Amino acid sequence: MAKQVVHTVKKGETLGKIAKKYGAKDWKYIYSDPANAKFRKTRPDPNAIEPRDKIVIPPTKAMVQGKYAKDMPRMSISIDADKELVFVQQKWAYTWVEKPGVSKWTSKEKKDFHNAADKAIWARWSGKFKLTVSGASDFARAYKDTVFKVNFDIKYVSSGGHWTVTVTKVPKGSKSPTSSVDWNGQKIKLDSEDTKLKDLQGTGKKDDKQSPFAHEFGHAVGNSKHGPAAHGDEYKAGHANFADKESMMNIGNTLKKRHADHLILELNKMIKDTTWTVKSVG
Amino acid sequence: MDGQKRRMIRRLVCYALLGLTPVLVVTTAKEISAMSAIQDTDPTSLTWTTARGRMGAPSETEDFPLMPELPEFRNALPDLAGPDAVASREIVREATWPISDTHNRTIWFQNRNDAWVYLHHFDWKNDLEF
Repeated sequence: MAKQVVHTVKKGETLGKIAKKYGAKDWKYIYSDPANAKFRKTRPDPNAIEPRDKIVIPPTKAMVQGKYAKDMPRMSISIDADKELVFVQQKWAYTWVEKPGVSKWTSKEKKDFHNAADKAIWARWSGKFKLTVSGASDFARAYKDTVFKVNFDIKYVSSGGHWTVTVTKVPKGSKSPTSSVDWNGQKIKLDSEDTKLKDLQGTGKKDDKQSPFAHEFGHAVGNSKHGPAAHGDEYKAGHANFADKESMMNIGNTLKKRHADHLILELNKMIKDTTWTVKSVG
Repeated sequence: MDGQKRRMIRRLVCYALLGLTPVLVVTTAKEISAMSAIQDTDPTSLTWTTARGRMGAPSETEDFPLMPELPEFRNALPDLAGPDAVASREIVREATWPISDTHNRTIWFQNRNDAWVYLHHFDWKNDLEF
């Protein structure tokens, strides 16, 4: 926790001016802080403060560190509090293979495949989770009313990826190989048919269709029964969320709060005494 | 001698050296023997009844209707079962057995004349999610 800031009131200053000086959202944030209980007793009228009064300035956005980042084996997470943003990025190191009888991947096809995956993941994962913070840290106190959005991105790298991604070029309509994610081995297997949306719910509605990229990314971003969140696919009978067909990790296209469990676990390790919560998903 | 049997013998020697109880050895040997039996069985000739007879009880089973598109793990089934089976939402039986410490075998059956007969199978690393 940062050293406590105590402000001595000067002639002509108001709580509003002091709040502005320290980057507080308003005077109430300072006046109502528990550390100013004695001050409130002395000055019950917030409009009647006097020179030489001493006021504790609680942590404000302008006063606290707002940028944090960490790189983990399977993803990197960065927090930019000024932008009210959490950014999750995975580096994907591709291996390109072909089924027998299928032409070699061209550079353009490789680029197009990555762009399609990136676009699908961005569209279905980014901006959906709305996070808030609480806790005793200066960060949590300064940003307690801030709603953070989370963006997700995959980056095409030639080596040093968080994930080794093997993509097989297959004939159109091919149902194999089976796309998969190996959480422990940090390996993803995809194929050229994964660019197509799947109508797993059978509704025929575009918004219900599932992107294979987005579903597999869901595993890679922590929805794995082998990871700390300890939950993965939901479409098998007996799973706690089997009935939630619209879920991205079931047969649908919708994110649920639980799909950020791993992210929340990791965020909660990043800033001491700061607890992150998914306020909403949408 | 296949890998499973070699591993079993190595384990038995280790257990003997460590003085572990025979019960543990018998249980482990049974498990390995069961997994070897599954590995040695041609899945394409199996019915639901013969599969359980030869390989024991599966670790997981589920019955579900065929749909034109199924989750990745099951996505080969609609084409294999055929359009009529899909159109009538025919029920498929899915059963999974461990075939080694690292791999599972899933066999899908379809009902023909009151018998669950082989439709498809898939051997997969048990670390994978689909």
